[in-house]
Amino acid sequence: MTQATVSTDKLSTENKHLSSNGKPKIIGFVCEWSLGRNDIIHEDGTVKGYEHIKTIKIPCSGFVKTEWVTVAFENNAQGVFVLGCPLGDCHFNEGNFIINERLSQHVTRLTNRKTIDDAGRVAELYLGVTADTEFTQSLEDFSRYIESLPPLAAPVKKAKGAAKPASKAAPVAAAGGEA
Amino acid sequence: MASPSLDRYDPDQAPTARDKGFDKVLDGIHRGVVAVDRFINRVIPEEFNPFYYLGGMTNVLWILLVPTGIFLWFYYKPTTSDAFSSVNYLTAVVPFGGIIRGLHRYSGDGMILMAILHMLRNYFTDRYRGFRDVPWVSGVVLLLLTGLVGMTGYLLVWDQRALIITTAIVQALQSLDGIVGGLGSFMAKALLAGNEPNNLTLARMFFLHVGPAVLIFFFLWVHYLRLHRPKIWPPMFVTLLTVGAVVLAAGILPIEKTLAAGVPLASDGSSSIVYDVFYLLPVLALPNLGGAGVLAVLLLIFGILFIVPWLPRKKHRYVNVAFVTPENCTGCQLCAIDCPFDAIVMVEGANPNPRNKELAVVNDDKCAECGICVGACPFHAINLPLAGEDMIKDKVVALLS
Repeated sequence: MTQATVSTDKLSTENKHLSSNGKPKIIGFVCEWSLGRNDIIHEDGTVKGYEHIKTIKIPCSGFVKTEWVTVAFENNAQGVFVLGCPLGDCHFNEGNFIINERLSQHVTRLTNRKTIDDAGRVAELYLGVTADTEFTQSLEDFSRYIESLPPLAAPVKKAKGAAKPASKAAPVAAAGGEA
Repeated sequence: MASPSLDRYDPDQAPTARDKGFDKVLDGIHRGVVAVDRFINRVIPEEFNPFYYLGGMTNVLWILLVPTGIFLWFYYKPTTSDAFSSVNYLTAVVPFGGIIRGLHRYSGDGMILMAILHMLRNYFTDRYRGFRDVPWVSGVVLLLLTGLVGMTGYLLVWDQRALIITTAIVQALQSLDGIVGGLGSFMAKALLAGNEPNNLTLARMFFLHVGPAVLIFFFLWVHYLRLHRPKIWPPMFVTLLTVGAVVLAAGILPIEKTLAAGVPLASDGSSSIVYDVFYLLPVLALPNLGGAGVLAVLLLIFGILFIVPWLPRKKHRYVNVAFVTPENCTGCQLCAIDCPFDAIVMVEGANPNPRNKELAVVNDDKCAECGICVGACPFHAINLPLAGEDMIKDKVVALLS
């Protein structure tokens, strides 16, 4: 889990939380029965018109391990979203309800550990296969909200006795207005 | 409309295959179904969307049929001489008899309507094959039983319509004589308990009305066999909506008045007989198709329905079945609890670590390859072979670097 963190942490540049288009990096887990089948998401995982948003196709939103959300934040992601089918209409009956429960628990854990400063950095979208416009609208809102937040503190190195930059991760939730 | 995830994993599968031909049509209908859902979700909250509870609504109507049927049975006399008068008595004289008969009638209509909608929805949203073959086939059996029960229900009244239906069934059965000599006549004789409708006939019809109805409970059990937590009952709002619609129909549209079977048909009387479009469609089609034709069409429809899960579409089962790493499994049961398809069993004494009591074992036939168990496991003990947790984790890191 943390080995990857340690290795990327060495090349610490100023803007490693930003994507090539100057916007904060966002990663998304996209259910293939939901919008994952649409052309709106390219083969390489980027979303049409949003180069800073990278997505990973998964068989079901319930497949997402909450650990991957942590890994994403430890690797300079500024926001994570999970896209599933509408609640009540999961192809696998319960996947989206299950990820809904798991994420609500995990986000509390992440904020308590000060891995993230704002619970809004994790978003859950439940959209049907035809909801292209809602999807882009939600991404626009989410992206704007993440941009309004200050960049996340650099991931903590797992070195012995190293001083933890706890002050940098202090809650600054009041900074951004609701997008 | 094949499962997109597995398409990508299948090396023989061209990536554009689902944009071609029949798959494209099905994909279009799938999108249409989801668009209707989306519209309804805007009007009412999505946890109450009736389209998510078509099977549950079928159950509500089925459960409504049982007590009303038992009530009717208290007054019913299954003989050709007394059946019609006993039905008239319970409709006209018994308090609420007419309403309860109406409830029985309209719940029956609603039940087959909801069952067909449930079937179409599951077909068009691609939820009928692969790991869902058992629910699909048992569902087709349930549809067949429901149709049989409904049709025999119309015979029990023993009015002019019942006589016409009986004649039609006998005619259809006798057309089988041409295929196997004497088979159709034998079946017709067994059905009528004689060559002509007599006092024993309705006892057999009554058995054919209640016997398959009991079988429905058995096949409902088979229907739920592969689900861990089946949505058997819809939320209260949808239940009340369903029951309310049936009560409203029973109050507004009383059961039509018919004449006893003994009364001869008027020369233009056939037009005044009301037929139920849901259950008596085969009888209505009889004059056009003939007995053998109707039987052939029914056989064709149900034959296709039975084999639909295996019709020539890409096979992609057992490609991505979850596997357990026994060394990591602690026997905590989290995956078994979360699996919506009851595919993981906890086997006692099988864990390689003697400190852990149980080992998770995946039942390949039940596994839907969705990966919900992967998200449940905190110990890296269960994975999908084609999308392991390390692969996804590496992908996350690679996309962010």
